[in-house]
Amino acid sequence: MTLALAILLLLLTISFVIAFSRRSKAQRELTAQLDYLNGAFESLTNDATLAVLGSERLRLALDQLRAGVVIVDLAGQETIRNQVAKRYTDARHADSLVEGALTEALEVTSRGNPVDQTVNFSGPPSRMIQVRGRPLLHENQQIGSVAIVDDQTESVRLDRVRRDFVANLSHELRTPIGAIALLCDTLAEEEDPTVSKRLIDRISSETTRVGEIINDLLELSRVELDGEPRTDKVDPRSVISAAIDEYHPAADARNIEILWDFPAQSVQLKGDAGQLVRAVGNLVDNAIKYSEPGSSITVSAVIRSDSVDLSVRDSGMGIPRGEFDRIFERFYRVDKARSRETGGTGLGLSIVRHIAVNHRAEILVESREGEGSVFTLRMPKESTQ
Amino acid sequence: MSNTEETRTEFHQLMDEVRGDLVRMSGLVTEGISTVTQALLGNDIGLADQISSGDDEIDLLSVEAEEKCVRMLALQQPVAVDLRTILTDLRMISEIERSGDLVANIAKGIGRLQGVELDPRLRGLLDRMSEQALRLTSRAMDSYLDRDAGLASALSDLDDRLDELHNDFIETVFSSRNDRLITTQQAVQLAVIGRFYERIGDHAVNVGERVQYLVNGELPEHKGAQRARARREQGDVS
Repeated sequence: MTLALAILLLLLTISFVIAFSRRSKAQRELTAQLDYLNGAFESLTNDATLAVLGSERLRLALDQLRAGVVIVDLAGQETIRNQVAKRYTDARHADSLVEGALTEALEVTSRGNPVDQTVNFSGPPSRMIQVRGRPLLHENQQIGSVAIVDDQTESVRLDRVRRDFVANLSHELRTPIGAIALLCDTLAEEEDPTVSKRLIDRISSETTRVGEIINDLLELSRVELDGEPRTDKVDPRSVISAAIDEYHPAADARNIEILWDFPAQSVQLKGDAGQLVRAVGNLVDNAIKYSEPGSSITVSAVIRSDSVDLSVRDSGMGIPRGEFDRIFERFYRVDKARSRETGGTGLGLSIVRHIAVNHRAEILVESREGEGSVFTLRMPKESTQ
Repeated sequence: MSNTEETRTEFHQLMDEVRGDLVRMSGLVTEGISTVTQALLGNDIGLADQISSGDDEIDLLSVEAEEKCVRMLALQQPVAVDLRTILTDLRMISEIERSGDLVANIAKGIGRLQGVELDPRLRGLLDRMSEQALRLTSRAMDSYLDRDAGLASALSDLDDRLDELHNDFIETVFSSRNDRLITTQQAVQLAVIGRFYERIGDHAVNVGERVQYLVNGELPEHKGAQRARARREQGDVS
């Protein structure tokens, strides 16, 4: 009986052990599988995170571009639009035409053809915007399209300024020198003293002209090189009176009255007195040249909350609106025929602009044809005391 | 159920598209105004010729936008604000399209001026009229996009300024003619061109009135119509 009981107990124990060991084996397998799945899941999540990070990196990098970029998939759905391109969504007025060109470019590109288009705006300010569309190919299969919006206004302008400068400089220097050479040839064979006298006068005036151009060019490069001007304490009133004194004879000769308008309170600017007198003087000189005899010009200093404005106002012929940004270029002339008559070198406003840059001042132009112009040198207050 | 939802989505997409078309049409008009003025003041016949292609673009957009409006009306029978929006859009399409035609008319006028050298005062006034016509056109579009009834009603004040400039311009054309700076033909052409700028302003004011209708259901014409109706009823009584 006892034996039978003992055998039964043994059998039970054995079956328990067997069952338990089977179960734990299944469990171990299950755990292993779970581990595997877990590992796979984690690596997938890692991959996904990496992919998200990757596309996020791409997006952030594209935001740093100066050009606008829009990427679409095959269905035409936008996948990426960078910061610059976002400016054109929901754009109004002229900018809406850029968005139109963008949409069109992507449409054409979705059929596998590249697009190059330029959108010109008359402005002001005039702008030139290039829109390019390119199909995106992966192993010769189109997987989407990209459109790139590039504002080329500034680079086109710089190219033109550079080209015009070289052409104008050689023209401005060659014309008087060519004239002098011809006059000398004629003079060498001339026997009549009155004619000789006339020829010599012409040579002298042409020489003066070359001299003026060279002086202004030197002045311009000096102003450019100086960079940081001296920081003397300058009274704007003395700047204006010095500039007016210099050009009084020229104004009297054309019967033009110069008025001035100073603030009651005294204010001091920091800067190079010589340069500031030169800048205001050049503006006064222009105002005299382009005003009708009998009219008046006004030079004023106005103290504002964060700046001091030195302005020269005339009621002359005015400047066409499209020329505002070009008049500061070297040798640029709005009306070529008339400007030679008035005798400027074509460098006056370039010098003014450089002096303004040196003093961290802004230069503002308001003008209307037939009504007159106002040039303002806006000196920042932080350079005042 | 999902079918109705789909049609609603398509409906709203069409509404958005029409709005986009209007924005582009207005953009082409404002850009056209500055280009045509540049061509006029610079005597640039080549640039003037380019303007007609911009007008073709406006015509295409107006045809497409109108078709979309008709489709929405026919298939959706919209009511309330949706209906008012579509009716406003339809009227705006024709106003903006007409402004585009006026820009093209100015461009044609440039050729007939035969390269006249305009005196600075005339040039300055043309520049000012162009600026004001451009401002009116873009403010009208702003009032529509922002549903701004205040701005829309202020457009007529801006237009008064354009009318004043137009009067000054006509006077200056006469005095230029008297001083024999321009021929009679040129004076007539200039007066016609001035009138085109002035008309662009009127179309912007019309857009503004439509925007007021869109926002609060009122039109300036309603007052006149009310008076006429009252008179008609009185006539019936007597």
